[in-house]
Amino acid sequence: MTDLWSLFLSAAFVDNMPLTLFLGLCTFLALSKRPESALGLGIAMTGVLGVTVPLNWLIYRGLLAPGAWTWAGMPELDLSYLSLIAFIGVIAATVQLLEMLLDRFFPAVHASFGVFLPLLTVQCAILAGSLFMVDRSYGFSESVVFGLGSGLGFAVAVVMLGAIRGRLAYADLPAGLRGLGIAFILTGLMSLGFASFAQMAMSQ
Amino acid sequence: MTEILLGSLVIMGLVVGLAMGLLAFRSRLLPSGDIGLDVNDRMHLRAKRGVRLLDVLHGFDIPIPAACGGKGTCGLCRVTVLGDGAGTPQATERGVLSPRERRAHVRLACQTTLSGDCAVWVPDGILSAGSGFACTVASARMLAPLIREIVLNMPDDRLSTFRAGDFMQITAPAYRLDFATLELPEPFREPWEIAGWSEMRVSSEAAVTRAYSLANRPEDAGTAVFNIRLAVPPPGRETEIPPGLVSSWLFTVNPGDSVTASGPFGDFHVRPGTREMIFVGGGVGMAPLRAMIHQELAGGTDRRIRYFYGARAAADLFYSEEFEALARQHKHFSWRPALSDPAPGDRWTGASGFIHEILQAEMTRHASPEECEYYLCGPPVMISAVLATLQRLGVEPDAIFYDDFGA
Ligand SMILES: Cc1cc2nc3c(=O)[nH]c(=O)nc-3n(C[C@H](O)[C@H](O)[C@H](O)COP(=O)(O)OP(=O)(O)OC[C@H]3O[C@@H](n4cnc5c(N)ncnc54)[C@H](O)[C@@H]3O)c2cc1C
Ligand code: FES
Repeated sequence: MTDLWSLFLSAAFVDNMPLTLFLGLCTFLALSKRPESALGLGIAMTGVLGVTVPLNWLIYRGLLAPGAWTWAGMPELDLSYLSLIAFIGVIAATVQLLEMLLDRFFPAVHASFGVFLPLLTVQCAILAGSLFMVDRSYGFSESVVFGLGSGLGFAVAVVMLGAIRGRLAYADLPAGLRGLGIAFILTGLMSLGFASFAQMAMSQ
Repeated sequence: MTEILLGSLVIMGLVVGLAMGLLAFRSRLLPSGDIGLDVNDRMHLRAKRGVRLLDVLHGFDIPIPAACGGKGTCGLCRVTVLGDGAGTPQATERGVLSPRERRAHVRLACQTTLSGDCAVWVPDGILSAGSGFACTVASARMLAPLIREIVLNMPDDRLSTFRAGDFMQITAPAYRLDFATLELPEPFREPWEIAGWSEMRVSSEAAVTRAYSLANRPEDAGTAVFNIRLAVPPPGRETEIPPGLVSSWLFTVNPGDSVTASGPFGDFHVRPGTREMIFVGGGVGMAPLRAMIHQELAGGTDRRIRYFYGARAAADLFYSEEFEALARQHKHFSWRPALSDPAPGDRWTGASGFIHEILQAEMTRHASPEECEYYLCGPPVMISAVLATLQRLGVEPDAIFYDDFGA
């Protein structure tokens, strides 16, 4: 139990997707202009990561990993070269499903996403979640916790950035820094802050 | 070998499984079935969920103009939509609609997908305009290397109640054209050879509709007169890029042929008043301005009228004698053509330069340019240059009316 809890914390904070690993920055910057759309993105990321990582775990372990076909008398068969394409397929289907759910139940949130929702299909943080899961040989429950943890970490980071950018709307910035310029600087500063989590993890 | 076979099977199975799963969810989640649509509180239509409002209206023969073909750029398909079923405005609409229009629930029909019941208001004229009707071509002649005048005989039941500045929509059927086979009158053959336009080919698979302004004079009653400019590709790319679909087709029609048109529509009209009127045109921007000037003069107006018209060379200048004659007849009308690039053989004695420069030169000598009303129509570059000139002359934007042909 404590193991899972610390995996959750490290996925959310120590290995924070956008701020420590710099993954998924395009949506991170694009949808953090206002706190509401940032919150929407955070929830969507948590949902997609929380679903795709365990789902991909099942597919990887059940069909693709070396030795997955031992029961059929083919222990040396290794289909792991298919994992990338299989993962992308699963992610695409999940995003479409999410899109339908949002369209049906939260049309306003759906409209605020615009084209960025389908773009989650090729968002690097989401694919990275599944690839890390394979790379680090997580078990099923670990993959659930890891998926939810990194999604939540993304959500926390993007909501924070969204809140700061929302306040900056009233700041008198130099013209060249308005918009993306200051967002990059903020991301850098926040990432310095998140680096302290790594220190804590090490000194434990 | 098994690795490849099994691998392909696994991937196929996975993709088919995912697709089936999605389809199953889709049929559960997205309610199918029809939605109700009220038009002007008079018509009650039913339509499929998830279709574009523009397609629904067109399907029921309500000819909302759509000059850009539903790309969300011309802004002609404006309608007022009430009800949740229309969703929130798209980013494309925010570019075209003013904040005031958005507050008044104006939407672009081509960008609105219907997900539930709603009520739509379209201009009353459009409801009564009905769908397209067939006209016969009365005459067709080339006016300039790329401009053709086409006159359509209106059916008897559509008496020409045009207002000057109106436009109609013309639908071209599916067709195929090799420009080498096009008959050109003598003076225009040479420019066509030089520009390589004879090598162009175009084919269209479906019926396409575009807007064309009426160039009618009062004596053209019962007919519709158009000036069509062939939309040619950028120079040097005549063999790769096809020319415009509808304008090319209109270069093939001959007297006696049948043409499907709808309308008239429009909101580019002369405002009543007493202020001096300045018309500035270029290219086929001639059409609506010609209709306006003729209508004003025939109506016996005593407002002073000046018409600045820009062309490249003398060959591109048309209806010139007609306006010279008008200027001789009416003392308060003056005709100011200018060539930006007269050919050596033109023996041009009139003004040379871009039309906004000519306008600037004349209007700086005018006692009060800000007291005049301005009507512009022509290519987008001309419009933006003239707008900048007028700003320098201190003319307020609300005295400027223009039609940039949906560019
Ligand atoms: C209110 C209004 C009034 C108008 N009045 C007039 C008028 O009086 N007279 C007039 O001539 N026009 C008028 N227009 C413009 C007219 O409606 C059409 O837009 C115009 O004729 C071009 O239509 P098209 O179908 O011929 O060209 P389209 O098929 O729409 O093509 C447009 C251009 O795209 C180019 N093109 C095609 N394929 C490609 C490609 N693959 N890559 C790059 N380029 C490509 C073509 O060469 C062409 O130049 C008016 C428009 C409006 C909105
Ligand atoms: S048809 Fe909708 S903007 Fe042109």
